[in-house]
Amino acid sequence: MFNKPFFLLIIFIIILQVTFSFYYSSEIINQNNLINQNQTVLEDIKNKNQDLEKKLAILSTLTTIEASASQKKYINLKEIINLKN
Amino acid sequence: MQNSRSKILSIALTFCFIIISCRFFYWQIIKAPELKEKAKNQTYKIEKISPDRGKIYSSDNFPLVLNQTTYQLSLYKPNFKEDIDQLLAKIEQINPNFKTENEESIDKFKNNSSQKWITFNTEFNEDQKKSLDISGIEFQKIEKRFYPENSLATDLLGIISKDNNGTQIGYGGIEAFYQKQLQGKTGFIFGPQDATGKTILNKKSWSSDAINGRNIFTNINRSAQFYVEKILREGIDKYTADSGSITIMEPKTGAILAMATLTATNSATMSSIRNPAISDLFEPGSIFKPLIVSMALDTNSIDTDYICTKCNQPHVIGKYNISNWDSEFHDNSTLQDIIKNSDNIGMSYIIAKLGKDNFLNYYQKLGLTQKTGVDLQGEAKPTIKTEWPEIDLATASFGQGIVVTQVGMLQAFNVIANDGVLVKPKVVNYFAEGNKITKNKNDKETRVFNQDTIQKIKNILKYAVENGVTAKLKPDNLEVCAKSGTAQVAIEGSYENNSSTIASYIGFSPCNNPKFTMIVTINNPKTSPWGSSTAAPIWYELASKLNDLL
Repeated sequence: MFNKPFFLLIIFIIILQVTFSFYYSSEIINQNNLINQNQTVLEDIKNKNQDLEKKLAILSTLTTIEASASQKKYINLKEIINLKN
Repeated sequence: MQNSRSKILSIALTFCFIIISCRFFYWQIIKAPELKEKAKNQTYKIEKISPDRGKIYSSDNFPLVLNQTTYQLSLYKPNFKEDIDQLLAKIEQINPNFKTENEESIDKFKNNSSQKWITFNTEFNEDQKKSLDISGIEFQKIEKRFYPENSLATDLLGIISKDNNGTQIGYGGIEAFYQKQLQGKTGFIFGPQDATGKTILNKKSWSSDAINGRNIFTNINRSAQFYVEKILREGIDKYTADSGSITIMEPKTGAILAMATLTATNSATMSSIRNPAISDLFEPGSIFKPLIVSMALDTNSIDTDYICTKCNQPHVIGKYNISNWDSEFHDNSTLQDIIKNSDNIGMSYIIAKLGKDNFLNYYQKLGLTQKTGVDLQGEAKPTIKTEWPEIDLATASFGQGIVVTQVGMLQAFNVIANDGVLVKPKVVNYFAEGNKITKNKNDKETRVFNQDTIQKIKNILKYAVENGVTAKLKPDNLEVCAKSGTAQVAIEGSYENNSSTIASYIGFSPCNNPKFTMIVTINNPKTSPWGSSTAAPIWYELASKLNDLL
């Protein structure tokens, strides 16, 4: 009924379409996962930043400064710079 | 026979074909828009992106208000893969107070088999949340405000809370006044979702970025605010007062450097939404006298050589007698002595010379008939009488029968400090949106008194401070122009059945090019009713600190 080349062409096209759709859908999933991962990382960084900002603020509150001053405690900041030549 | 059968078959097939075509027509043409919308709703979703609320900073760029993300924990029984007690033990390991904080609700949840879901009020941080990635435990994100300096400047900052729609909005202070600037703009993503309901981000979607709220940089001097609250607390306790308020302003710019109201330690905690320094009206009493003298000098109704020849007896107006607070009479008082002695009789003669029209004109110019426009929510509008009989004009000369807010009185008195020019009080200095900085707009400054008048009134105030009852309070290194006041508190229009007073002290330092203008009001002090014995010591203690700070 069908001639052979035509039949093979149809089979080939179907296989190509299935392969492409598998590849394309897995690519979408991969990309989407990557975007989701990046979003989580961004969220984490934001939270860490928020936390650091909070910790820094607590360290420099008037209550902390007053308490440290009355206990004569302070952070001794030292920086050594080695200058060659 | 066969022919008729095939005819029937073809008719039946044609009929079926027509029915199916009609059905197709119905679903694909008539119902198409509706189905399209349904399909879209199933495959597409809109996701809101919440902006970060703007932060609030003090004048030294210290964050007074920050954002904090916390999580609320929920338990969902159908997802449990282990015993609830084991699950609770794991939570307890991460947050040791969890069980004690939620004992009652845990018991109810455990014993009620029909209850599948419970949410606890205990808050968890990001790390704790990550440690509890267990089936059956869910977390909900909560955006909160964090105050590194705890309750410092609460009156100025305000709070945030949810409205009826569940949206977080500001109440009171800066949070409410600048709600629009702080809240930012919500963004959205409209795009296809996968089977789990997650947005497929790389498919065609429509989005609008969230715009974070603007950060607000205020004029609040953190150290000044700290001392204001500390010294005011000590003062209220020392003078066993009901409450007290202090506001400090930068004379040239109107920048509010500090503002606080505190109540007695044993009284109910005040609401953070209402700020009495801007919302409570009070009769200013004698602190109003320098403004009346300035009005009289500015209109040439009197001059500095004015002598009160009738101050040796009460001033009789109709059936009323005007006397002095200490029941003494100061015969032939000079203008300086009238202020120094806080002489009500002398003041009542001065306002008579000034006249009602001039008084009302200056009263309006000093901004006392309207709100100051300070950038805080909840400012009260002062009321003013429409009828001014002679006795009311006389009592107004010593600050009785008129009402002002504390910030309104400070704005008016600051005109003397600022060489006769009125500036509006401002809490916020500028807004920052990324690198873009927008200065808070300044209202037009208006001249009220001429400079000659200012020099005269400054000399009088300086003389009164150095020779009056508060002279011993003044540190030698400070030059001060100030006035004390004690106002009786009227109940239902009468002073007779009420002995409580509002003691106050207002002034600026130094007299020329002042660094600050400050008002202290103490409500119902029981150790002494007088402003000179209660509000003044607080004022001078703070002034010494401010002299070093500013």
